[in-house]
Amino acid sequence: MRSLPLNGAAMLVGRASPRGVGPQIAREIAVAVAAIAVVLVVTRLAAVLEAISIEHAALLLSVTASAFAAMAAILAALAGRLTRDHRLTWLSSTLVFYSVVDVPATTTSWLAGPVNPVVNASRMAACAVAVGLLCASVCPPVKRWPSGRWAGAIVGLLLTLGAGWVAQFDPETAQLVTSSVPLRLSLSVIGVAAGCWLAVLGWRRGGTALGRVGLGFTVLGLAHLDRLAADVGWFADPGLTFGTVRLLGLVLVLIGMTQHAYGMLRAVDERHSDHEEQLRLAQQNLDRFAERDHELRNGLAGLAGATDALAVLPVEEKDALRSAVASELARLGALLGGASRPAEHVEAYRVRQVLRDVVLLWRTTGMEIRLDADPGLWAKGAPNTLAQVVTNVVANCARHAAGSPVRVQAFRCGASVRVRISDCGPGLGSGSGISENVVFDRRVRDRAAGGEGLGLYICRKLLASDGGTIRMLPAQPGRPGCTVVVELPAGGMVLRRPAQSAVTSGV
Amino acid sequence: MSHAHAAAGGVARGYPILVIDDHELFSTTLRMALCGQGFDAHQLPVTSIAHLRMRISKLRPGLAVLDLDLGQDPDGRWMNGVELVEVLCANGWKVLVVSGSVDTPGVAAAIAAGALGSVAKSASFHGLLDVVLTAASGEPVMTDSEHQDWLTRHVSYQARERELSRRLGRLSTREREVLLLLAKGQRAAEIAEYFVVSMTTVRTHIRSMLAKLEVNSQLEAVALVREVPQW
Repeated sequence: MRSLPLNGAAMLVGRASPRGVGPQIAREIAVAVAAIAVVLVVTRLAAVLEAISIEHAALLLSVTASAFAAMAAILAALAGRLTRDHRLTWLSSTLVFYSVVDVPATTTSWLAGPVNPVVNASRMAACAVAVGLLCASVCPPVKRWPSGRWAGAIVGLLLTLGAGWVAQFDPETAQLVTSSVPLRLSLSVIGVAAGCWLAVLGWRRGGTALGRVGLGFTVLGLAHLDRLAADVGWFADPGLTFGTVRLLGLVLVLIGMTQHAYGMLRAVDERHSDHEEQLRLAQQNLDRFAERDHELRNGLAGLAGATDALAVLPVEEKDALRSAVASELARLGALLGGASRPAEHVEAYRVRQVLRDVVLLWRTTGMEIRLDADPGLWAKGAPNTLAQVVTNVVANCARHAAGSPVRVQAFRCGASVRVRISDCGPGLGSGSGISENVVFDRRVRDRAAGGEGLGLYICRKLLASDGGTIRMLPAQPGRPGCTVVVELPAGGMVLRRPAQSAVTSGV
Repeated sequence: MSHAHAAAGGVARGYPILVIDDHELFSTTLRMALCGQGFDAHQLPVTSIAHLRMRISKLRPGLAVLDLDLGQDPDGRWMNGVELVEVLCANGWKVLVVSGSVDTPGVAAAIAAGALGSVAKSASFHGLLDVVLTAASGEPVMTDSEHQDWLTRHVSYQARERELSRRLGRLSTREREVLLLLAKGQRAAEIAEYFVVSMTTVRTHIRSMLAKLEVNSQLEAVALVREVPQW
């Protein structure tokens, strides 16, 4: 069933491996064969034949068979509609035709006996149409005849009635045609072959449900050998025996179709919840962006207020405000940095150049900051990452160790470039209760000094995408301050353009 | 800057003003602007609700400019400014609420608890300062009908919240956990992995959870959780 977008049957029984399917198929066939054998034997028993009335049995079997076929038709139509599987919709119309036309025709011919040419002709036509519809189900002519299945069923009904009508004008020829053994045999053989083909298609897709449907149709094909069997003479009442076998086939079709439809419904349900989940995640992402936008807007409002305040502020207050503005800018930068950035091309860059820009910027704020870096250092990754990380770390120094001189060093260490940023502030200290291992987690922050606790967390995430790390050295008793070490993968020492003299001179 | 700061010199106008906001730049700027206008303004560092209560009880009452969203306390709990409104009012303070977001249920609750009124942080700094100055000079920041309107809204928000809490109360422990993970943005597959159960089980939990909450989709369920903040 190539056209099936949802593999419901396979989901139902799990996509069984070929090794697992083999014995299962053998078991199914064995059970079906055993059931048929039991029916053959039981319907020959004199005790059984005496106990039941043939007319009642015929009616009961016929009504039950029609009902089962109709139920299976509804399920097939449902599953076919759900999955846009044309085979199932064709099977549905086959089953409708079978329940409405074939079953009554067969029962009538059983009760009317083999000598009524009108009934015989109608029955043979009905069987031929049913076999044709079954073949069309196995190989649906969707492209040439998109809505042919209902037209096929209606034409079949007319053919059946027409065959009966024609037969009454020439009963002898009709009798000759309908009693032709090759014709009957070939009809049955085509039906059985189509059923087998359906079963094989079902099993090859790894699902037992459709395989069972195919097996059911195979049994149905066999059930229409009653006339031929009557000639053999082994059966006490071929109508009873084969009517029961037919019911058996329809039970198999109904079970298979129920399982298949159930699997389909479950698959549709799962797909529905997947879609719902995607919708929820998208909405949650939108919410997150909205929150960030909101934070940014608040930050902008604050900065606008700060510029106002700067104009009227006494000198001694300006330092406090400047520090607040710097930390706010770092926070806003971190918020933006934390959002998904376009993937940057991994390249090698000069570490010193990047550090020098950052240091110069901070020096303009009045910070006492020193850079010692080897001019020949190259690192792999995005230069913006290093710039942002160092900015964030220095902003933290400014916040937590206000007034302390800050030192930035960069040197090569094995296969990596190491950048150390240290201050002489209070460090993490045991009083804050924050350890150097958790300080990079989201929202870890020192209450007294403020901040959102996002900066260092974002640093870690940014560096991780470049294969770098960031850690804080444990406090040493003798030395004040806090030291953060950033490690980056070292880049090749390829000089892509001549070294500039400005780079080698001190900052 | 985290310490309270007195106005620089001169005789202060109006009420003394206390700014309580975890947003450092905002509180610093506002305090400075108010000092510049000749008010006696201070700011309080936000640590925990208990700590703020203690600090407030020791200060001379005046006007408090209070942020509704005070961030998380050291134990990771979200601090809600509404809790402080009653304490402040009981201590004789006038409270002006600053809301960072369009948290109307929060504002309604604060006004019902005795706040004078509210001002949005997203408004221009000048507008915000004007409202604070109005409140600080003892004038009303909203009309009686506006006040009444807020009280009515508060009643309906409370009714809605009670209804939602009732629905959330129907959930089993596992359904509650699943809902919280969904609200955090987890996928059903991740939840199944986390609880070491099958996807089918998680789907069943989600389905029964949606039925108990009387909603039709995960989206609505998550939105519902957001409406009941203390849940």
